[in-house]
Amino acid sequence: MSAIIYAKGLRKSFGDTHALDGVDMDIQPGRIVGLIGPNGAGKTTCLKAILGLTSFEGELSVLGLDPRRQRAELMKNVCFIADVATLPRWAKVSQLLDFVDQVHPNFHRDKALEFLSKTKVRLDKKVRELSKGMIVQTHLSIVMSIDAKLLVLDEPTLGLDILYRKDFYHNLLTDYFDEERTILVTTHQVEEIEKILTDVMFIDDGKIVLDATMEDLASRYVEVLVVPEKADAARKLGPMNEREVFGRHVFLYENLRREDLNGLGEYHVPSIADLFVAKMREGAPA
Amino acid sequence: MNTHVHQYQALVRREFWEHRGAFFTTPVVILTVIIGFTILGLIWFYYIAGGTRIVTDEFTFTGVGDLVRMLEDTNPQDRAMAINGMLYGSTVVFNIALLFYVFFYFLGSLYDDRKDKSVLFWKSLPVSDTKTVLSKWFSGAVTAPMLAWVGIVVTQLGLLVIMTVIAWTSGASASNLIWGPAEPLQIAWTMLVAYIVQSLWWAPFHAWLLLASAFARRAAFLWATVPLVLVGFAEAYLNYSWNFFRLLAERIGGGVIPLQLDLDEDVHIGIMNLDPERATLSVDMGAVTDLLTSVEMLWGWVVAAVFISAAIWLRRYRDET
Repeated sequence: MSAIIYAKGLRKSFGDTHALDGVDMDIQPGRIVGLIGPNGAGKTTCLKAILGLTSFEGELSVLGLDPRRQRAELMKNVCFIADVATLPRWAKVSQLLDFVDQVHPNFHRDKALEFLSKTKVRLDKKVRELSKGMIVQTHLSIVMSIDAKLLVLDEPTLGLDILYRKDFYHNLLTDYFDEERTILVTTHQVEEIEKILTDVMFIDDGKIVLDATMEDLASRYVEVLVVPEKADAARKLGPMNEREVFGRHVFLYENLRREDLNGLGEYHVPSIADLFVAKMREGAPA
Repeated sequence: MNTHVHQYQALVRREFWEHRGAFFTTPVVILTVIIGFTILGLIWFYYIAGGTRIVTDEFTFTGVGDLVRMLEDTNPQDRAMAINGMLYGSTVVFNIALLFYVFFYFLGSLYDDRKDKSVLFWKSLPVSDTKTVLSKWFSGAVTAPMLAWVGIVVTQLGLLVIMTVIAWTSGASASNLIWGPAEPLQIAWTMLVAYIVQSLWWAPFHAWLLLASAFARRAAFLWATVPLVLVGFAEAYLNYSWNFFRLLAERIGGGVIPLQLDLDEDVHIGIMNLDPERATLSVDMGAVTDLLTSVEMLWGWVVAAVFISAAIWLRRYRDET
């Protein structure tokens, strides 16, 4: 099966800053990939390159197409929600459905109506009359009714309250995702998507600093809770990161054999957030 | 092929939805105001000014009935002048309003959605930027004038109906007095051709506005106007001539809109033949062909094509961050 997104050596600079500094990607169908990085790390630039919304150097193919030259064709099979509330505020919900129905060959209007019927969004309302959460529900209903191979989400739940955020990912998983679709998502709220991801990529300073499947992550990284007396022994094993929680030391290791852990304390797979913090500190000059 | 037509239809309809206020409501308001004021004026004549007498050497005026009799007494030529002149007069309001709202429509067309970020939604759909920009040109150059034209036709019919009712109530023959001299079909046809030809004449002007709209990060109005003024003054400063300003004035003020009718000067105005006896304009198809194939018109299209291509390019490759 060929890659959904294949990138080699993507570069883009704004003056002196490198938004993308040699990014490689190989994303296969049926994956849910989280692209995670601090502000200004190049996440959005990366997504924009994939969507053909920005210029860049390097090799990039999305669904076998070149986003620079074949953007309109590409959009038949790619959907994206960039930021919340990008729906035109003057439009009625019914008008949006009519418009998408007429221009999009893969849109299923009846599906969208069904999704919307489960929300409080009324078809005769204008977008400007909807709450932020309802706008996102509307947008998601449209996007989920498009038979697309790739869905790109850039901070899709930013500024939403927790009920909407929960529903958002729940709907995405139960009503949309299947093995033929691929989702690429960036967010600050890592905890929320942690459980649904199949792959995770960390990006920092325009470089991919981690690219792993969740299974990889589980075998490669381990976090150990160590009592203070054993902390020195734990330090000798070369942890990536050390922090203190309620008087106990938490060490994070990469590629540590499980037998070395014996007796140090209980261990588990680190959360993405903790791993992210460790990775970012590792990269930063001491 | 079919999907292309479909997409253009959807895009043009979208522009109408978004700009319904300018494209549809404005002509409706204008026609309501014209018809409304006419009716109010008549009511005033009938009831309030009913007892007023205006006596001059030439006529005695005591109410609407006298107005009808005046019209009956004038010679057929002057009668035609009065009726068609009034009908043409009502189109002027539409022409002026159209000029303004089309100007602001184009200024915002590729700017507003970038400002409120909804461009990201439009760009998430499989519609090429070429189609988007062309649909916007079409909306300003064709949709808007055509709807104004419908407004004009309805207004004319409304005015004629009012005049008919007045004639009846005064016991005069409406067919002799009103429908004989009136030329509503002629006026409708003239305005239709005029609006289409005028949009073609203004293509470079419209395209320039589209370009400014696609280019501006803020203050689209200034981007649309200041560069032109600067070029004009630069020419004046460097070359002591005003050719650029003259060119602009000829382009914007030129063309065919009956707005610029100068009754004294010439009986042949642009593509129109003026019939001074009936105060009507008729389309001179030979002149239309001449104008459409004139060097100025063709140059206008070349310039428009360059501006529109640039606008498409900006729309496609401009990165908004």
